[in-house]
Amino acid sequence: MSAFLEFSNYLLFWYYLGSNLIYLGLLIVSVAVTLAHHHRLAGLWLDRMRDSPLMPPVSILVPAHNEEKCIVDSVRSFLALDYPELEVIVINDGSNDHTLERLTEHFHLLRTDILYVSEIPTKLVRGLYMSSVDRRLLVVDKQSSGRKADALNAGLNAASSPFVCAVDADAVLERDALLRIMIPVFADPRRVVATGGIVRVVNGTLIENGEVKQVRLPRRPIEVLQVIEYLRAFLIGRQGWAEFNLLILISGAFGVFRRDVMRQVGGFRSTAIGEDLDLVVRIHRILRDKGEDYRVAFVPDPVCWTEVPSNLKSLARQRARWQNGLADVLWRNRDMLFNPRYGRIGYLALPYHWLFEWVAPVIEVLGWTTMIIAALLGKLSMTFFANFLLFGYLFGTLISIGSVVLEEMTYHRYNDWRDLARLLGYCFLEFFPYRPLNTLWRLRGLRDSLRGRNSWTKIERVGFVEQSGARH
Amino acid sequence: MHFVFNGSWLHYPAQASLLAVPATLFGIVILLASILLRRVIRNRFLRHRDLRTLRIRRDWDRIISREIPPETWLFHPIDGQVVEEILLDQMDVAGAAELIPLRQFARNSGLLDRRVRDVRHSKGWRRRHALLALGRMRIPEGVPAIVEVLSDRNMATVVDAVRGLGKIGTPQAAEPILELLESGDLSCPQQTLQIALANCFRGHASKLLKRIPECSDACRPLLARVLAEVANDETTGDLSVLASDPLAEVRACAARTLAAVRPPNACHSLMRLAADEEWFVRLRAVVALGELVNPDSLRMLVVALCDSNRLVRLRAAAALVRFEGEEGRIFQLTIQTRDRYALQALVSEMERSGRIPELVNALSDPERRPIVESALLAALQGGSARMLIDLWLHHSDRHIRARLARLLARSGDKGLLQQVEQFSLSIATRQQKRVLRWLIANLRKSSHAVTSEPVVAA
Repeated sequence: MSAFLEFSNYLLFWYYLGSNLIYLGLLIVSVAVTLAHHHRLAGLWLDRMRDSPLMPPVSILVPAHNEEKCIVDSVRSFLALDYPELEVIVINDGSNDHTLERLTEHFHLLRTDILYVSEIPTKLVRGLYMSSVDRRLLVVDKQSSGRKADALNAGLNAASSPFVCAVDADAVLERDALLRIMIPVFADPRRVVATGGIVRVVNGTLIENGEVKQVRLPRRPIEVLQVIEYLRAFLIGRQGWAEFNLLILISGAFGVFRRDVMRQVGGFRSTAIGEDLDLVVRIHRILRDKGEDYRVAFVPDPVCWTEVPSNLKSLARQRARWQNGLADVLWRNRDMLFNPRYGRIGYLALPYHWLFEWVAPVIEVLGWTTMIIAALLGKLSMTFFANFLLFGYLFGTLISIGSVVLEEMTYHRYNDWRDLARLLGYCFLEFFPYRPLNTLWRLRGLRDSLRGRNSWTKIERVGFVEQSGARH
Repeated sequence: MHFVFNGSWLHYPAQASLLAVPATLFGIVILLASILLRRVIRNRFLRHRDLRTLRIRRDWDRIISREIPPETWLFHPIDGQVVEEILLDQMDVAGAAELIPLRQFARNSGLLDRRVRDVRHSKGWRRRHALLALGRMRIPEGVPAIVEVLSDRNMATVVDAVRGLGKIGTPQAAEPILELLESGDLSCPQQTLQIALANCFRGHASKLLKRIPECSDACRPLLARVLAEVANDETTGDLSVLASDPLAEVRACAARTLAAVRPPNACHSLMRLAADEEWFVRLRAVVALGELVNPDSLRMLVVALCDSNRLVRLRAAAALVRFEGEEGRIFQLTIQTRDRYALQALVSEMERSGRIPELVNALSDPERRPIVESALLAALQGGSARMLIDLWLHHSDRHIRARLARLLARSGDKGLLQQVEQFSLSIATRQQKRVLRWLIANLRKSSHAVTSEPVVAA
């Protein structure tokens, strides 16, 4: 018993230290990369690229399942994007609400029989609709399989551009987001196979006609904590990993992929829970199997605003699903671990995700439990126990504040002093109580994955209009 | 019993955590202070800079005429930058006449020399920004300094040098790039090269056209792509050499160029390219033929509608849709091909581009009616039944509704009969149901009498 407690405490200490030191390293890398990116942007003329015939065409894929509250705003914002060659494909994934009706009403959809070749198998496509007011809009109406991946595959079949951009239906893209996310592709079209942008929390922000009018911090503490979490994950995590071509996740809420590569890998795996993670890992696998020179990039300034869960129940479900999806992908690709063929992905990226993402909830729960037991049994010096707690808390808070610093240094979206003060204040609440809660939800996700539960559960949406109306 | 934090046998973590707490706390304080200080300093700096910018803009004419001597602002950290930024913005939008005094000012004030010195002696971002600034100045004296950097080891710097030369935008600035490309000593992404060369040869496409045949196989596709971007109807030169180039990519670009330049024999050359063995050459040729809208190419485009490549078929359909008033002939030729995919591609494109509703509206024109009716019957055969029924039920003009109903009833299409029967189940109003019943009865009658020409699958 004592030996076990000893080992467990020892493990937790090094585990926490390792995890936070990696994040600190990523924070330093991200600061350097962000500054370099800003210098690079200073020499780019986005307004000229906006009208350039040399920009590669992009198809935006918008899977929509019961999205009647926000679908019109979202599609309007996608059609208003600054990009010379654009096609918007909405995939109505067997919605039970009035998603299709709302689209038909606002965009005057007409049913059509255009050629649709099901190169990647999907559930039955019931019909294709074109807009008579904007010919760039195509709606694919299909039976639902309960999976976003299946809907995205249907969109992929209908897409006609060399690049596809997967976007959530509840997302709002900034006008130049697509142009900015395509910068790595434009600079290195042969190597860049996928590129991701930053996802930010829209809750609390004023949206009008599918455009962000005023960026504000949400009111509910649970939403503010997610703002900090997203900042840390994207500005530090994704950016840092992408710098070393180690990125294995491009958010399904906003990511661009080369269509020929997606077809090579067979599109999204329709049974995947985390279809975005699964796709990028398979891209790495297949391109490394072929020995190709490629890059998965991340650009920190194209912004996709998305709604996050505003209550604990929805958030718990979402986090459990993410963890379940992660477990599914990592387990399926376990042969890539420490396999020389997969280079840095097999030696660094995947082991990190196994150790610090997948088994993290188990280690954390086990570690904290044994530490508390040891403290209660008097086997642990209370001074050092308190010291360790304080250290863990402060280090976690330091990283969270670091992400706010990065945001402040570069993109500076939250201009209001009160918003900044609240953001910094909530950084002190992220380690406790938010992180333990998150750990419990992720543990539930692990349990679901062990039981083989993989159902898709949607989070409750408030919708943009009501949300901004409530605030302003 | 020893535990991790009892400090006896495992000193290191214990000491580490003891040290780490104040260190982390210090880090947090530093970060918080940096955010607050940065906000305050930034706000002050921006206010200060805005004030100085305002003052410089007010005195701009005196600065340009050197009434205010350059020494007063050139070495000031903010003023020097602001003056250069205003100058470069003005140069970006200036015409040839306005550019002369601005260039003179850049030379005489020392801004040009400063940037040349930065390019030659500085490093990192300072050098890279200087390369772009020199490019934006568009002054020939700046070219040698930029050219020196083209052979730099750092690719990011070379990319900025290429972009700088592109911003100068003259064929002379492109010469060093072309020389290095020919010798294979330039490592720069193709896209950047393409944009830079396109900027340099915009308005001088004929010079580029002359140069392409002399280039090596490695360079020709890139230059041909640039030519396709910059060519216009003022471009002169022999495009037939490009159209018969051994490299498929050059031939594809020749097709695009032919559509832009439109020489007298363009249609003939494009028809030859539309039968090329490479699918993307055929694709480009078909798109180009669609832009020319020459009735001589109709047959060729209908042949392309039956192409083995899906993209060529789709583009051929898009090209055919542009031939207004030829719908009847196009449908007739397409039906003659006996290729169902071809007909479907054509009808889909007609629907997508809104031509089917246009054709339906044209039923009111007695002169065009016979042609329109035959086109609509062909569209019906090609799978446009749903849209036609929809238009018939919801069209605002009752005369057109009546004509369309008669046309549909006359068609005797069995497929249409099935669709109408399905439609009648979902129809809401009583009047629409009555009309549908009439149509079903007539279709049943005419389906015995009419035997439509069979269309077989490809």
